[in-house]
Amino acid sequence: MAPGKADPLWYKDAVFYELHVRSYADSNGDGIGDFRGLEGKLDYIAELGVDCIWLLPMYPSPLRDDGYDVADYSSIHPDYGTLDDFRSFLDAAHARGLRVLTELVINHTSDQHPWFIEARSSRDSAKRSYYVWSDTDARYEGARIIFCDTEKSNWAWDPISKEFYWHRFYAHQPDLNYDDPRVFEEMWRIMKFWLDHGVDGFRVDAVPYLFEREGTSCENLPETHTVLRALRRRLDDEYPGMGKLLLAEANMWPEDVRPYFADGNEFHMAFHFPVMPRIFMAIQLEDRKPLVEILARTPDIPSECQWGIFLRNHDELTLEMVTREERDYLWDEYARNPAARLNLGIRRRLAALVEGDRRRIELMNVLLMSFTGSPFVYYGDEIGMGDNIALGDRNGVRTPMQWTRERNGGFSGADPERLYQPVIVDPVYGYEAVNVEAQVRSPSSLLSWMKRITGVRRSSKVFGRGEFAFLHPSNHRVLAYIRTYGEENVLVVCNLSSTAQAVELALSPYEGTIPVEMFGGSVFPRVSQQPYVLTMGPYGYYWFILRWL
Amino acid sequence: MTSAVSSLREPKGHRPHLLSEELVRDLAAAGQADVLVGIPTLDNAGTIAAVVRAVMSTFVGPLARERTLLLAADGGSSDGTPEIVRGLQSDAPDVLLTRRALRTIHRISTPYHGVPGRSGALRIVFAAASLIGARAVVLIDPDAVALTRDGVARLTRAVLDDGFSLVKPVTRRSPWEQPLVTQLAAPLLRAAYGKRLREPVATQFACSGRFAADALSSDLWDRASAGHGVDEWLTTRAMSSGVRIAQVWAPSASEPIHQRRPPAAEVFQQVVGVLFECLRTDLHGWTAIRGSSEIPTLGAAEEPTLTRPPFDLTEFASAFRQGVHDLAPLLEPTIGADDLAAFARAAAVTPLHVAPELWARAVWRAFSASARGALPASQVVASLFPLYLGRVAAFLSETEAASAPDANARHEEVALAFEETKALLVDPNAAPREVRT
Repeated sequence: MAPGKADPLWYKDAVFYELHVRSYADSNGDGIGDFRGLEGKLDYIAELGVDCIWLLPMYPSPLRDDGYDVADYSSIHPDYGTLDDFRSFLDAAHARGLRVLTELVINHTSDQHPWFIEARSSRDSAKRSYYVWSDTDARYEGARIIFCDTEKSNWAWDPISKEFYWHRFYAHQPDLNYDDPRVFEEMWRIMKFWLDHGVDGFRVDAVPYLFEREGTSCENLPETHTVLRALRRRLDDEYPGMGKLLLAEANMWPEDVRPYFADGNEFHMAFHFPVMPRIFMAIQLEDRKPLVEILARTPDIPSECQWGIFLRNHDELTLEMVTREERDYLWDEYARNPAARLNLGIRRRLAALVEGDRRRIELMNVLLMSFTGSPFVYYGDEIGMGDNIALGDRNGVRTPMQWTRERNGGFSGADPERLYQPVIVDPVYGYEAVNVEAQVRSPSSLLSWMKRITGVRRSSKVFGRGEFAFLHPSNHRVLAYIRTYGEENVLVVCNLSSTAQAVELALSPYEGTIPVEMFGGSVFPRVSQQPYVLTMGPYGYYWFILRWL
Repeated sequence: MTSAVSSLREPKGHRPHLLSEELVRDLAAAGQADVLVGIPTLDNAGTIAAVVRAVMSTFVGPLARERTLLLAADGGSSDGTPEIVRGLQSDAPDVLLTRRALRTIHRISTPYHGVPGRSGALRIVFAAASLIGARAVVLIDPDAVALTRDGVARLTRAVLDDGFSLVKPVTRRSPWEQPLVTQLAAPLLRAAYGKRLREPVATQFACSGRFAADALSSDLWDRASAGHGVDEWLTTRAMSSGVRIAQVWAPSASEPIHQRRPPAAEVFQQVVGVLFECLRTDLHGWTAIRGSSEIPTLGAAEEPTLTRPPFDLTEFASAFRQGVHDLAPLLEPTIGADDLAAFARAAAVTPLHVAPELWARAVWRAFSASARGALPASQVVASLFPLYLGRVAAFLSETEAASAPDANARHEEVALAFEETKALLVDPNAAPREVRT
């Protein structure tokens, strides 16, 4: 039974926690995380103040793209356990008030999926049209190559059926062909399978690429929206009022993502990708301009919809949604080591990106938790885990969770060489220095602080549902905004710079209110018609609730 | 539609300040507190020093590790009460006894404006508690001259340590004292909400910060009757909302000595009028409840005192007989002809005997009449007053030779009579204004 069914808009207030079963906790000592291990850590997740877990792909897969190459949509990868293990985990999560999203890899399959094996077996195969075939690799040339570091074309030659097949990602991930209506029905059958097991929704992978049309970029096409709205309609019809969620992954500019909300009848949520690099940029520039600009170009969305925002995730810190100058700046500042760069991004974790600076980690999370949208926290970032860029691709940010200072960081009892990949062992971010056990015991740890900030965020709906209005103090190093929900007003003030700042805020509309600092409860002087003066330490921040008393 | 960015607009919820600039500055200086003790004051120069000292001794004694604040909300004293509160030396030997305070003790006296009366003071106290995030709020009367530090501490601990939302004191009050509570307020609310709270209208109590904040944001302050009946409103609010309520045995000395009691008829009108209004506005909260249960009572029970108040039974009986006769035109539509006749028969004999069942039925029917709007509520309550005097006179004469336990057993008979007559008279599915009698 999913928690809190009474509120179908639960996702507007939720804090999400992204994790990979493989990376979280190994219960059987085979060196690979599994559902039984994850179930054993649910109390930890609940205490973190999380509302919903987003699971990375858990399906049978050759794991050439960390599970995004699905070989069987209706089962559990044997490394992670069984379907019964998953059900047990899901029940245990729900019992703790946690919801669970799973991945719906809708655009492509693994080349090991039975559909593709059958489709490539013969040009006359019944499932041939489940995929996109061509006798030439010169079609759809308007489509960009996303994994530009590894792929040279969106077409790959199939030596068995002697035709090219279309793939927007790796060549071993052939794109499904939604021009064949059977593919839609197959995908709905898969969704229904998991919904009937009790999952609370899907993070839908790579949604802009479902159709291909000549003369276009093959992204965000009208046919794509038709299919997605049809899936949503099925969801609403068959699971009415149950709060089932569809979350879109569309790494696009906000105006291009906007159509995925449609009139509130397509996706409930979509990630706002461009916010993330601008948080990094604003803090490095010590200037609020990038954040103000990106929110200014963010369109209105239906009131029942919500943006998803994040600092880091399982992919590289994508720099696709910035200008060339901005990308060069971010690469120079955050990825001086060329090995840290991947595709159009930076494959590093949050703590490593800010050189372990606790003040900047806090400030970024303060922005994440108070900006417009629902925050996503990537597993391990709550304790400041580091990365290992020597592992190639994006594996460096997918290392085992660091639970204790014992062998393998408490992740697994296996011999270290049997781990799916090594734990972080460097002196700064290694499991002996950074682990849950130590941070649970320290009230001043990053983990304890993260619990506090999620707790404060959960104390009010203003962060998830409130309006967002910038203040414009003359000091551009200070970012200040008001969140408003009903009669509740919260003032957020952030010093983006590494030096102490003074700022004068024009708060006259709130004249008469008393700011109460939300983390400590301290009372500040009443707001008047005069500019409200605050002094702030380096990377300092305030959340004030403005009380009419 | 939801905009990513809106323009700054006129915020909702703009309302006049509750807290003065000076008070906000004082509260900011005091900072976040665990416990706020509020004392509504108005010309209490004769007693306030002793009460403040008792609170301060609690602050340096049982609550020494908590962050505490004493806030006296003054309704416009002209006798120097605020100056006395501010001027007391917190580290004077008679305050500290043998202990030194661990932290700075904060003590504020602030005037409040707007609607005068107890509710105005409580509103300031609750607002201050909400602002500084107090986890427990304790209300103390300014004339509780024999207040002990244990009394304050026990109330506070029940909130802080045991997690109760509203805590009322139980004292070793004599069974013959406060008949308005024992014969009407307590049994009426017990029957209504099923909770056996012995002192439902006690003006000294503790509550959680959350309860105070919820009450602060409610509309009860706008009700005319809140001015003198805020304690009844808070009690019924707690009972209706299902928050955890407890009562604590407090040293009898913590019971206040009200120096300026209004006439009995006026007190009756105020208390019963508010109780009826509380019940009338919350029919869905109690009409379906049947029976009652104990609520947690903390601390060791104490033997009641044997004080017999100097009530004039002859005067009570006389007022009862005259009232039954003179107010018959009002009473008949209120309590019905049969019960009016029963009261008339009771009035004709000496000594008086007003049975608990008859009394309980009269109260429920009077409530029903006020709920139906058959007569103005104030008239209904006024007509009930002589019947109340008759019931009190009967109780006092019947228990003249009784022991305290025996007299308390009579209270239980009254309470059960209210429960039983409620079951007969109140429709469990009553919608507002449709209480069946």
